[in-house]
Amino acid sequence: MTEELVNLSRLQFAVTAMYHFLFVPLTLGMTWLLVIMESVYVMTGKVIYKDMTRFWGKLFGINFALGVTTGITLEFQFGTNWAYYSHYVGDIFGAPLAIEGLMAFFLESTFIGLFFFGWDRLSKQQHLLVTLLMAVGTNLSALWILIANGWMQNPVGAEFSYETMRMEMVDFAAVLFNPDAQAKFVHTVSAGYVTGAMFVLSISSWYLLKKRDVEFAKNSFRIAAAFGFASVCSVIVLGDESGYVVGEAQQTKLAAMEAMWETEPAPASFNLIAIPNEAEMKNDFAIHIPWLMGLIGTRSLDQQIPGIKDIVAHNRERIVSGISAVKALEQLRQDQSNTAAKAVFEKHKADLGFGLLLRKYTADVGTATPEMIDQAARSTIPKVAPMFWSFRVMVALGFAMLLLFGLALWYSIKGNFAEKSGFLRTAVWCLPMPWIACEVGWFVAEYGRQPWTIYGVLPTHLSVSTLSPASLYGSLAGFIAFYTVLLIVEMYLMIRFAKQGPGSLGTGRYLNEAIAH
Amino acid sequence: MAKPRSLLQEVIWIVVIKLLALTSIWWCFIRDVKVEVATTDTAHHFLASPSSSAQQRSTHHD
Repeated sequence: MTEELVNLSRLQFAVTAMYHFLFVPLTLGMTWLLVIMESVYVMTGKVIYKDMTRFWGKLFGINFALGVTTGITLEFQFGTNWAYYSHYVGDIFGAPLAIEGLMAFFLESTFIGLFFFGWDRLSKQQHLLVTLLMAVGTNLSALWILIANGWMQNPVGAEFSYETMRMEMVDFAAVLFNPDAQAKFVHTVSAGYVTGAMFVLSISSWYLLKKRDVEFAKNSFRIAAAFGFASVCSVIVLGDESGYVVGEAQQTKLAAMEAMWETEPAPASFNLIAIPNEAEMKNDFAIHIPWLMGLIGTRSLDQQIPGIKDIVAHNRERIVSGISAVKALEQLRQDQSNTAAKAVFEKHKADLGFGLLLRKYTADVGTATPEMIDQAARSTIPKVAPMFWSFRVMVALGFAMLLLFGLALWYSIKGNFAEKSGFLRTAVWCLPMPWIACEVGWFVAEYGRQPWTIYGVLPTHLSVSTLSPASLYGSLAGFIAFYTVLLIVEMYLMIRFAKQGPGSLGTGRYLNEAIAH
Repeated sequence: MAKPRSLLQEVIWIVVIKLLALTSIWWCFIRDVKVEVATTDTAHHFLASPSSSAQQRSTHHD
């Protein structure tokens, strides 16, 4: 498997996943905002809240349609580009994806149809129930996807079978209640809620700056400010939980995110800013905050967080143990009744994945040289600088949005936000923030798992299909071109309808009633 | 004059038509296509084959 092929397969998945995640968080957040707006309509009977649900629902619909299109290709890629991955872990990974399609996506897509076409056919309460079920379906969809992704980060509830040469599920409950999956789910959906809130807040701020559809914009702004503030608080608290879980299950990722080269005495200090030097395995410059890393990472004052150098040394031992597992497995493949090989395999099978890391350097793992083992051990740490800075960008954006939504909520309570033109202008310019935070957050999660597709179990270089680089270059170019067109269409439609505002509903109550009946 | 159909009736019709369409597609194009889970392919991809293993070992010892 050439390095070029592996890198191209990774790039293709990364590009398509990142495009897809431009649409997903807005869908996640908008559904609950629609539930809130429609609930107020049902409770108060004020028609402006119905108009808000319908108008923001229209923008949500555009985003949903394009989001679905970009998501489908990701699932196909598991078969086309990651065939060995699919064979090796499909038994576990496929289950949540199938449940997502059959349960959550069917639920969500059915109720989305009723949401748009049921306004004149359903009672107020029935339509609210439809909107609520649409939101539940959308979030359930995210739950199953993140259960699948959580298993890639922390593969629990499964065991390798030397007879079928694949991982097999032994405990579905462990996969379902995987702490990584649960922490990722709540953190990710909260980030989606922030995205939805920012979308409504920014566009409402723009209407207020233009002094158009003022009552509509004010009501939308208030709901977005309150929902956004609650959501951004959740993102930060649940992000901390997610980081804690990473520290438990993926020490390499945590160490890279924090540029921790050495194991410090507990409680470890936090590198606020650092210039990591990969070659010499040290930071050329760093500003420390004493104790903070120990408190965040272990929630204690006496537990150590292993540094990169110690992790590499430990992983080297696991690779050596993994060589025994691979050799025993080779013998078992020749003769499954070989009890001696079976005993050796059982003893070392937890390190099988580490032994397989050496397949990148040699065809026969048993002949690996000490240099190859050192190289493989060093490769278990993702590049530190991109991890360190991406994580800090995400956190900084999170706190900036906390400040923004905090002020928005404060001004909403005081009722003077419509006069704060400086703040409204800032809110408009902050629109891209949650998307950037989501993208860099996913980068930290996925790049930080390297060199594994399944952490500690399956190396990335063994997961890819045996395609030709030419076909990957071709399909990658096709994806980029097609997705860019979709993104342009989305931007065009969003901007068009956002500019038109609630007037696009054609109710006769708003400005720009150009397409009114 | 015929009574207009209720939304529930329409939704039921749509779901039935959708299920029939999906079943037809499965019946015509997918039912007979079986994908073998190729254990030997994975073993070959992940592990050294006995011949290459022996060859490498002899080269190593030389």
